Amino acid sequence: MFGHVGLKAIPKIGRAGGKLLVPLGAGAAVALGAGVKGAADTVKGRSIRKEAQKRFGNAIAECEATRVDTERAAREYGEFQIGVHKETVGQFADWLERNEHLVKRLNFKKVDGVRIRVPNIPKYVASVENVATGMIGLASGVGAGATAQAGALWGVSAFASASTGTAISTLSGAAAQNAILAWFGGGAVAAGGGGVAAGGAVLGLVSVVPGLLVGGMTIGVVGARTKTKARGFAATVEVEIERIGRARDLLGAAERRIEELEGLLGRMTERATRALAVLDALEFDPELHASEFLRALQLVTAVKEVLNTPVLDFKSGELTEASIEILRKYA
Amino acid sequence: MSASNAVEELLPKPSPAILVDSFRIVVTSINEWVTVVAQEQARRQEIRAWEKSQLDIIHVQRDFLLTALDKTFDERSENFRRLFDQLDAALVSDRDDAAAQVSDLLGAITDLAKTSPFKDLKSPALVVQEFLQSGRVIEL
Repeated sequence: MFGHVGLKAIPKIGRAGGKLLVPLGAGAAVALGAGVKGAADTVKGRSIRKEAQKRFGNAIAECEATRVDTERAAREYGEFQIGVHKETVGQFADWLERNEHLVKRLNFKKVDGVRIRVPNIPKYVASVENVATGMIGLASGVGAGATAQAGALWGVSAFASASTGTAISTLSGAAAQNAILAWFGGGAVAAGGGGVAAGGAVLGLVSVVPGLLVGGMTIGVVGARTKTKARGFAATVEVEIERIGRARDLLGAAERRIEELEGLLGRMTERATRALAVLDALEFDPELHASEFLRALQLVTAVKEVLNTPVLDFKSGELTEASIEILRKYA
Repeated sequence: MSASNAVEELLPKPSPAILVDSFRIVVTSINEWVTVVAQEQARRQEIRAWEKSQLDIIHVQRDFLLTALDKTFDERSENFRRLFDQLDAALVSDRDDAAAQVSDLLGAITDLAKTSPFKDLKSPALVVQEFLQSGRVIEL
């Protein structure tokens, strides 16, 4: 209705003469330019936001893939640990049980520069059985894969949390992503205001040209603000993407630690298995075979030590933000 | 008389007052637009500067972490290799103290294994030294 009236009013304004038309014409040109620029800024802003959301999604997906890889590596290492425990420590416990009375004779005997301390055999066997039973019990509750992983890592997700302040596991899934985007200030653009009291002035003047001017300026102002908000959003997302990248690097470091321990355990197990095979092949005589027993005991004990070494020592608080924040403090 | 004609009759006739009002609205709108556009440009510049400083900080941290971890793991790998070579030699040795040597070497290997490769990252001195050596400047 008002648009129609405004259009009808144009000829009347025209009759007002050049004094009215010249400034309004110039103003209309400026308003048109502002409106076009505002519309372009709005479109640009939406594009910036959309692009940022896409990049963030990609970063989350890559981090998730790394997390899955790290968890797989941890699970495989855990499974390897369980096998090693059974094949070396378990086998040695069986051998000790079979030869208990003979082995006891070696206690405190000095062989090749080392005084042998025979472990308490019933306790040794019981502890090996406890480990195996514990694994079975845990596996029945949470599954074998999870048990293996727990044994190796004590939780990759907790590690990721220490590095980013946010658990990586919570960074997966559409819902979590939306929540994060919401936290960044994403979501619908608050088009708000523009600061120009458009409607009242237009109706007051009952003239379409000033209305056009004010409308154009409003679009220009909203466009500029939309673009700024989109830039702010994109900047926050960009920083968060870098943080996610840092979390990925730290997950990679955890994987490297797993490889280190796996390699070490493999080498130690190889030697312990050879020593156990030699010991097992003997008709054991403590007077003659103390060296062979000592060799197996030393290597199996070393295997046990490696088996008990966690991938990450959470008690020490390593790889926390503390080390990273130092940079900021001293920068 | 049609409805539109009736409304048209109610419209104020262009007058000097309308001219002044129109001009005032136009000038006010243009002023506000120019002001807001300038403010928004300044805010976008601030955002760009903030983004750059944040990214610089994170890049330094990542560079440091990756370099430190690389060096640490390489050094540990070399130490393990050397210790296992010595262990293998001790395992086949005929020396009287061979078992003691094996014991010492196994102790050294397991101690090194238990020492976290990440522990040095907590050392403020090391972190600061690395940062200073990088020669980078962060504007906060």
